[in-house]
Amino acid sequence: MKHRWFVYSFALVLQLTSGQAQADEFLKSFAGNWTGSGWARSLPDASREIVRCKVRNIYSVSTSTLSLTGRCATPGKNSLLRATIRTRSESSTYSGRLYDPEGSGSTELIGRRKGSSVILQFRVRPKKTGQTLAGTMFLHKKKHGFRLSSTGKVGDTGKLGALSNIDFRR
Amino acid sequence: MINGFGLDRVGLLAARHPRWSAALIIFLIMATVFGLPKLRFDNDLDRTFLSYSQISEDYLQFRKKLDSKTEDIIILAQSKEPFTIADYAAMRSLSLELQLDERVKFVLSPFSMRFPQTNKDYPGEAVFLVNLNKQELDSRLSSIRNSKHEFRRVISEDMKSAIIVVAIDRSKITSGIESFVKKIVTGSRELNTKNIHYTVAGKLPAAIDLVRGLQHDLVALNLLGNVFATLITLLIFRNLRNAALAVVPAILGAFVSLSVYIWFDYPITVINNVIPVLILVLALADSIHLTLHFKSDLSQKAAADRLIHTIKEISPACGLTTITTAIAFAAIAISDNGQLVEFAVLGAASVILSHIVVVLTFVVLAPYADSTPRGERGAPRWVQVPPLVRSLVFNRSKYIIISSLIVAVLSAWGYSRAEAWFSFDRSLPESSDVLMANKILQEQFGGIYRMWIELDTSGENALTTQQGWKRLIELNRAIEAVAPDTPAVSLVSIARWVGTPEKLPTSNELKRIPGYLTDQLYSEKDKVARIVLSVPEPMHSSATLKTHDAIVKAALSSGANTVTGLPVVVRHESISLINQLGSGLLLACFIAIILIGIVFRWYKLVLILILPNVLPLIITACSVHLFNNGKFDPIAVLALTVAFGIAVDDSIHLVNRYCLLVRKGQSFDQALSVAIDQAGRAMIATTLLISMGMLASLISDFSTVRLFGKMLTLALVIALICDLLLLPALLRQKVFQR
Repeated sequence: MKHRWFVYSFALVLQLTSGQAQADEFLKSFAGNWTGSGWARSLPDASREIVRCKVRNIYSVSTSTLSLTGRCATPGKNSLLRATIRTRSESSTYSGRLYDPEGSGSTELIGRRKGSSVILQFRVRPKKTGQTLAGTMFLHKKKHGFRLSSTGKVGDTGKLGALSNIDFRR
Repeated sequence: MINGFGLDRVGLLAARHPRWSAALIIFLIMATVFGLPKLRFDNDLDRTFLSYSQISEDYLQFRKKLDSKTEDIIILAQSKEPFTIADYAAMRSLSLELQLDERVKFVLSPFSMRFPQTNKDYPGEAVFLVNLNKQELDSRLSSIRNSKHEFRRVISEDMKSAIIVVAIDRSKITSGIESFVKKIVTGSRELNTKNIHYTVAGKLPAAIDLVRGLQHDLVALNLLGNVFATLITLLIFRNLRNAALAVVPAILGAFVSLSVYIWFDYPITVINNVIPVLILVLALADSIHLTLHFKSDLSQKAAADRLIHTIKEISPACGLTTITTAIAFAAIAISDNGQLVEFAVLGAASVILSHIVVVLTFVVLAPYADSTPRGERGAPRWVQVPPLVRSLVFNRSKYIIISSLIVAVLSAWGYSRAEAWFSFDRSLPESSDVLMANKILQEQFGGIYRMWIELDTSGENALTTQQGWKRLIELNRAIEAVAPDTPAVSLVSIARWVGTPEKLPTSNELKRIPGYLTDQLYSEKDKVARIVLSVPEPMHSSATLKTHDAIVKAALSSGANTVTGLPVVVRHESISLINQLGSGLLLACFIAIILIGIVFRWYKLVLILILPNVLPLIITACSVHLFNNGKFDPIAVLALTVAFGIAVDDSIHLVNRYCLLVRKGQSFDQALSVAIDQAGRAMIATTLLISMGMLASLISDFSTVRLFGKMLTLALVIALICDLLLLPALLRQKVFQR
């Protein structure tokens, strides 16, 4: 009898554990090493620069978090790419942080999933301009890779424009 | 009887204990074989020029102060036709790929070029847009070409060459750097269009090519030297066993001398890599003298007695020639250049060690050689002194002396017309891709070497003051006036790029420039502003030398505190090196000739030996007009010093034979005639042998090694003529007779 009780309680623990850390298979599909190429610019009215990136994305089942870490290069300049995206308890929403490539802090990411994309909002205030830039980051899953793109506008009256478009492949 | 400073006793000792001698030889061979894997090759190009002089010390201090954390690799992209859009796209992909390598700190390329803020069409924009379009690109490139504010020329005028500068993180330069450089080239092949050919230049790739060239030379020179020497010896003796008696001791002597590199822990360098083949031919000269005497000695019938007789008669002279050659090598140590001091030590030690091995091996092998004496046939008929020599010596001795003096004066005049010269690129193998790239980089992109001009900005000269900023502007203008085509970067050029040439750039403006660059241009800690110039090596051509000197003069007269960099070191050290080696040569001549006079206890001999031994040097020095475009570089002096050490050997052998015969009661002229005949044959044979051995140097990929071989051979041939004609002519003069 005692033995039976022990088996039940062990099974309960297993069930609870698996319920706590359910993998977000969609977010998990972005994990791995990727090489990307495309373009980027710091502001909607700046000229586009060609960009190439190498990232290593790690998905943590225990925290349901995807960590993006890598390097991006535009001619003559390198920058670090670092962000985290976590599945919220309400499974179709996401939160996370986007880190400043210069290392001076981070900003909050918040968003949702729409089809094969994760759409995340962010606000940054680049030191260069001193003005707030409201942006949207798109993480779009494709057949053999994904696309990381973003749009933004400066201040309340600024014109909305594309900021980057980078296609990643393994 | 002369003495060989103890070296003559080696043979007698070996003859008494042949088994111990054999054991010692085997031990030395085994020690060398096991030590071979420890041989290392020098890949530090700076060491060729740096010495303990003030200029070198200043440069080393400056490098320390600059604390540069990167090392540049320059990729030269070339196309037969002007670059197409596809070519630019491929080059851009390559430069971005390189930027993403974790060992790379930054990459400068045509794609990182930006228009100055003052450009009326594209202010501050990148020259290359994301989507490349031929018409648009042509217009942008034409605009940047017309701009006077280029930081560095990165695309050639004809649009067929471009450069990508890759700065490698010094802390990540490991032994794997060779594979990294290879990866750049092979990786770039995958990325490129078929039109582009990439070559990698810079110190790191140059070091890789240097080591490859040295390794090839060590094997090729020694193999070929051995083959040549063996063939000539076979021709001389026309008997396998006798040829082996001469060749085997020499080969073993040369082989064991490799162990000297290991004992002293010296690397093989572009200067000392000729030592093993040089030792081979020197050792062969000793063993030929010994073998010829051994085979032609008719005074003793038993082989053992003949061996002792040969050792007693020839070994002291061989010992003395070893000492004089070692002195010539050691005299090079007068230089304060590390590589030359190593050459001196290695040369001197190797000559002595190989002589010992030659004598020991000769004594051990002699009993197994062809035991019949051959008298006059010890050497073949063709290795004979032509009768004309004796005729000239005994009938025209005064004419010989006077014409020699005239030739000496003319050659000295010719030598005075030669120019002291030292080219950095000559340290690289000629098949090196880096060397080819360097030439193009120097001709089309201003050069790959950096020159730093420092201006004091402390106190009232601070750049924030009007006076301080004006001083920097004036210094820039002075440099531009004398070297308008030399790419120069300074805070003034940044101010011009920003569009405010009369104002010190603000910290925000400076942030738009890569930090590694601004760090080089101004040091708050040291209170100095710097102008960085990309220059060719000073002695690339007469024009580059003139420009180099003009820049230095203009900088110092416009208030610069220091002008430094590898080009400055090369400019000054090369001349100083040549002077030091010249002093070494004089010292070697002086010591060796005095020593010979002392050994023969014949002090007038000192006067007799001067002209026959100095004349070959003057004529050979003058030959740089023939071999080296009238440029006299340190390798030429090195060749002369070594040539003197070897050439004086012939004088010693001739005088030794002459003195022995006089002592045996022959008249002066009779003794001289026999000495010319007997010693002359060995002298002709050894000169032929050394010259053929040195011919091996002609296959070297290093032009310096080939020059060394040519000059040494010429010096030895002239020395032979002088020793056969001039020396006997002088010995006949009554004023000099004992």
